[in-house]
Amino acid sequence: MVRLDTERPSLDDPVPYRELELLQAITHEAHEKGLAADIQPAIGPMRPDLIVRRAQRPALVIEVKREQGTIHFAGLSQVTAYGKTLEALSGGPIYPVLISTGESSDEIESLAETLGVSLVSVHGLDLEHAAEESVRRLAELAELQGHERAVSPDEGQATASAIEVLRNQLAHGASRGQISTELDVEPDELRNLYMTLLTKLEATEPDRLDAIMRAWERTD
Amino acid sequence: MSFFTYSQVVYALISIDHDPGDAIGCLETATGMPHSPSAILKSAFPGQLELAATGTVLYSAANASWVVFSAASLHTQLQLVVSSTHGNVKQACEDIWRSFRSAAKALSPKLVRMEILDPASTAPLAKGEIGVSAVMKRTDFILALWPGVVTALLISIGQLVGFLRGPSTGEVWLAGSPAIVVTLVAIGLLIRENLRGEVTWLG
Repeated sequence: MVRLDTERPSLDDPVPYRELELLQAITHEAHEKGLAADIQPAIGPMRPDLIVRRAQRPALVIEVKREQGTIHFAGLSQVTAYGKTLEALSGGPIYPVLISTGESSDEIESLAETLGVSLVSVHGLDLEHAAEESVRRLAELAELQGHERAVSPDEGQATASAIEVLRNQLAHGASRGQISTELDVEPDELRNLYMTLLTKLEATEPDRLDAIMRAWERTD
Repeated sequence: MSFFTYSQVVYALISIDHDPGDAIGCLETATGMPHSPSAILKSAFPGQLELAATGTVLYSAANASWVVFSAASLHTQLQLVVSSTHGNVKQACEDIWRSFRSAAKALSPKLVRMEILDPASTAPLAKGEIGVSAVMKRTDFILALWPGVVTALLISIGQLVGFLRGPSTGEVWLAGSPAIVVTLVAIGLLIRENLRGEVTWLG
């Protein structure tokens, strides 16, 4: 039986180190550079690979993937979910970052941009240089300013109304641009509303999901 | 905002290289199901909601056993996430690979990645591979292969150098035949599995 968790990569392996080794090297390098990095913290229902916190700045939630060949979209999706969950738990903005040893491609970069994930490819680098490059990019990203905003008690009601408007507009074939204008929200906020709508529908009217999701896809 | 507890999720990532062509169309043929936008929400994979919200899902479908979706259309690679709704994610991966391989024959599909993961691990729980090199890593295959090879080798050397003088050649080969037959059967199975593109699981 092959033990995959302790298996050493062979000498001719394009990625000659394990994922855990890369994660540990990045954490070590981050500490050397003065970044407050927590490795695999248990936060609520999840355990992201790394979190970098800075005072008065948005935190970064980071997934590290040891991949061969092209980067798989799943890593982007996974770290986006972590970012959203952490935002909900912390109330502040979180930047999701994917560090991968895989090769990037135009399609993957486009998807990363759409999902709001910063993609760091360390393809072809040895362990030391991969860690250095990762931390260099993390330090750059950690410098970015957030767009934290206070949530007022009235916003819950406003959101419920906006979701109803979104649902009605989708049912009438309005485009996302038209709905954004109608609700006076940015595309990111519209997506968040849409996700809330899906969550609500899944709980209350699952048979309506397909129609709403088809309408959303049509309005892209 | 999520439908699941991350720590309970086990899912599989599949990447299949192929010649340029309509891989998503072949996937529809393979599963026998058209794209169903809400199917992705049945997956316990982290981030399905975000993918659905950004309109980046190219295909999602679910049956009683599994959920499969794709959100990245690479020119010559199909990337999938598979999660099982009834516990056997390995079987789900094998079913999807087998039917896609058959439906996309014209695109010369080649499995380059099949891994079962959970979000908290830094190494795959299991890896699915195809081909002779994958089968050669299986302990059961190695155990079946070597006795016959070693037996045949020893008998041949013995005859060549002449130390097998007592029994007749036929008797010696007959005595060694069980091990050799087992090895031949193992090689036959290896060839059959290879031709069928059967997945070998490691880990």
